[in-house]
Order: sequence, then C-alpha cells, then structure tokens
Amino acid sequence: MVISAVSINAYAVSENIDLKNEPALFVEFFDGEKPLYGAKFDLFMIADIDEFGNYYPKAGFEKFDITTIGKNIEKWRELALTLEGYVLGEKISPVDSAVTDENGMAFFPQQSEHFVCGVYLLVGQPHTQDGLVYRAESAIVQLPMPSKENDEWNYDVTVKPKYSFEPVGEEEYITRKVLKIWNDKGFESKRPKEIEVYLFCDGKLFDTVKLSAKNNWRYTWEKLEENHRWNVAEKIPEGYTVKITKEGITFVITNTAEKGTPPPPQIPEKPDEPKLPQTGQLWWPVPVLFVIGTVFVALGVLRKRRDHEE
Amino acid sequence: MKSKKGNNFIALGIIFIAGAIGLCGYNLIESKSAEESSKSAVMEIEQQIIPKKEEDIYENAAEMEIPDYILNPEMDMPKVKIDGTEYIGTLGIPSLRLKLPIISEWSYPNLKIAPCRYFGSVYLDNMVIAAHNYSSHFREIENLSIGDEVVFTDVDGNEFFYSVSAKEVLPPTAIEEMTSGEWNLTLFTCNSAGNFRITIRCDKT
Repeated sequence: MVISAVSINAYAVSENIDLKNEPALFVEFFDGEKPLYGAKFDLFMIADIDEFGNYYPKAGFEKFDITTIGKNIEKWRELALTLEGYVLGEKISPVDSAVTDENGMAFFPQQSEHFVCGVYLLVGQPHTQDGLVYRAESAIVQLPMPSKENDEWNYDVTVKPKYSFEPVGEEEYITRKVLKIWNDKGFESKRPKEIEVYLFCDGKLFDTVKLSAKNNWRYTWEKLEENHRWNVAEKIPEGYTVKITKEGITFVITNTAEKGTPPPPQIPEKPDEPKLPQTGQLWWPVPVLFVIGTVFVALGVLRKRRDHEE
Repeated sequence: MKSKKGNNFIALGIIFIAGAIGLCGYNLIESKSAEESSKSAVMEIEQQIIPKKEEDIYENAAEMEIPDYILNPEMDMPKVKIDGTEYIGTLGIPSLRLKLPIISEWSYPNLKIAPCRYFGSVYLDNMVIAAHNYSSHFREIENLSIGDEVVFTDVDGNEFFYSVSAKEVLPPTAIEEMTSGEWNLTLFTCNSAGNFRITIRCDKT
C-alpha cells in the first residue's frame, strides 16, 4: 500500500549552484502520524553536478540515462529501481548510511567528511515495527534542489519515501517474473546469446538465472517468501544500456543498444521466395493419368478385337 | 504384329492408371500422416505445456500478473519444442471442428506436419498462417462463413478471439497483399488446382 510520495519537481533557477555550499538530506519516514524509527537508509552517489546543473555520472554509472533526472518523475522512479539492482549486483558500497530516530527522521551526512552537491540514490532497508514490515521505495535525489517557493537552490532537501508494508506473521509465497526486452533494431547481431540475471532478497544474492532465446528471454521464480524485498539486476551487456521497471509481478529489463554504426545487414544466401508457398497436394494428375490410361487400355482392347476379327 | 501393338497400348494404359493410383495413395498417406502429427502435437501443447490460467485473486496492483505480450508486444512469440519442431500455439476453428498446432516458421517439410506461421505475430495483430489443403488442415477453410469464430491460443495460454471478416482468392505472387497487415489474422491454403491461394481474413472480436 502506497502511502506517501516523493514530490520533487524541477523548476528553472536563474542563479548558479554554489558548489562550496554543503548540502543536507533529511529523510522523513512515517506511517501516517506514526514515526518509523530505526529504519536504515543507504546513500549512493551516482553523479556529480556542476554549477549550471549539468550531471557527470560517476564511474560505473555512465551507462544509465541519468539525463532524465529532474525532467520526468516517472522515469526517475524507473531509474531508481534500475540503479538499485545495479548497486546490489555490482556490490557497490554506499557513500553514507543513516538510521531514522524516534521522530522518524534520518539525516545525511552521517559519516562523509565532505558531503558534496550531486545526484544520489537513496535505498531503504526493510524495516519491522509494530508487527509490520515496511519497505521503502528507492529514490533518486538531487542536491541541491530548485526551491518551489522562490528562484533559489535549496541545499537542505527533505525526502518522504514511498513505501509498502505487510504484516509480519505466517510466511506467504509470491511469484516474481523477469522479462528481457531488446531495444536494438539493426544491432541484433551484437546481442549476446545469453545473459545472467540476479535475484536479490533483501539486498543479498538469492539466485542467478540465464536468459536466452531458448527460454524466450524470461524466467519465473515461484514460492518466494512474501515478507522480503525482491529485486533483480543483470550483467549489463557491452554496448547496451539497461532499464529495469516493475509491472505487476514482472521485472522488465530493457536493454537498449548504444548509438553507433549498425553492422551491415546479412545478405541472404538466396533471394526470397518470389511466390507464396505451394500449399496444395498434387491431385490434378490423378484424373488425367487415369483418363489417359483408360483411353490407352480401351484403344488396346479395340485394336486387339479388330486384329482378332481380321 | 498388329495384336502386339494392341498389347502395348494396354500395357501403357495400365502404367498410367497405376501412376494415378500410386499418386492418389501417396497423397492419402501424406494427408493421414499430417493429420496424425498435428493431432499429437495439439495434445502435447494443450495437456502438458499450456499452463492453466488462474483467476487473478490479487486486489493489489503490485501483485497482478500482466501477460508478457502486453508488456512487450514486439516480443518474439514464445515457442515449445515437440519432436524437434517449434510451435507457437494452437488454432481453433469451431465451425469446422478443427484444432491445429501452429509451427513457428514455415518450410515445405514443416507444412507436411502442421500449419505454419508464414508472417507476423499474434501480438502485433498481423499474423498470417499457411497450411496445406489436406482435409485435416485447411482444405475446408473455403467453406467458412463471414462471422465464424477463430481462436488462437499461444503457448502461455493467452487466447485471442477472431471472427471471419472476408474471403479472398489471391494469385501465388500476391505476397505483399497477403502480408499487408491490414487484417488481424489471415489463413491461407491452395485451391485444389494449386494455382490460387484461398485466403481467409479475420478481425479481433
């Protein structure tokens, strides 16, 4: 059940970002009026930002389309899910971690000596409180954010993560599917024959499967325990970018070929069939052969009869 | 001498008649074999491979199972392999009491087993299916009437319902017309002389 939303909108700000200014990130984690305390959040830095608001992806994050950040909230959410799988798959360490206090508030920086402006991924760990397991949705945060009220950069940013929750109790089972989509028209020959996909349970590797044309580029995990956080990541193929979205119970992993010169199309060895397939059995000769045969037999009989009479 | 000529005529006539009987027998055996291979493939697909769809009991959108073809209509149609041949689903034509397996790619050897996908995808609403005019395959499609129901079921168990919208007779060279994609589903086979393609056009219902 989704209770609250991260609502950060992009506004044009006329002044430049002051990169010397140290930003701060506040996380408010509440179930209605009830503060959720003791919940851990990890922060990963995914891009630097310059004074004009341009992004410069950190090493390893170049393959993700972070240009959408701040422009399209839905794509931003999709990217958060993709990046969450990536940091788990690549075992990337967070730059900082914080735990919510009795007021449901967490604050960054905690350990970083130099907390700098940039773009960050905020990942919450599953949190149990009052018989419920809460799972915060990952979020991407730009520091600083344009202020909603005035034409200024806001260096103190507050995020209220979306979350879902279920009661702790008897384990119920769920199904999760993964479906691979190739967005690589003209580059199909570059496509790997198979690809490894990792399933994570609460951030830990749970299973590895290989997707290929043989299994129709998809896989279904059944009987997964419900009260855990499940995500997927893949070993990203060279020359492709990746995007992971969740549609119902299916994780959709879309690989898009990076721009370049497409390989020349393969020339077929023989030209295409110029006609539609011949889908008829050869029946017409049957009566023809039968009639000709009958005529010959009749002629033979007549001839013999005539010879006999002569 | 003259009588010998008469015997020669009779012998030649018998050879022709034997040829006619032989060809007839070959056609009947081929047709019977196609009928049996199709029946066995349909049973295999229906009983073992197509999962039974369960009612979606989840109220929560996050737990809904969305069919893969809706998430990606351009996906390759999933296939199952039976005796070395890849199938994409079954085609049902209730008015002809027909249920046939559909092979993923067409070739002349494949057409002797079952109807084949000639072009397109059921998910892109442009699929064209070709089949021999065996009595157990598409011979009777020329007797379909406008409005008759046609059902395609993919190997995931997703069902697609169509009704016959038009009947056409196309020359063998009309590849572009056959695959123009204006119809949601097209079925075709040869007429008995083999010089035209009887074509059934269907729209989704």
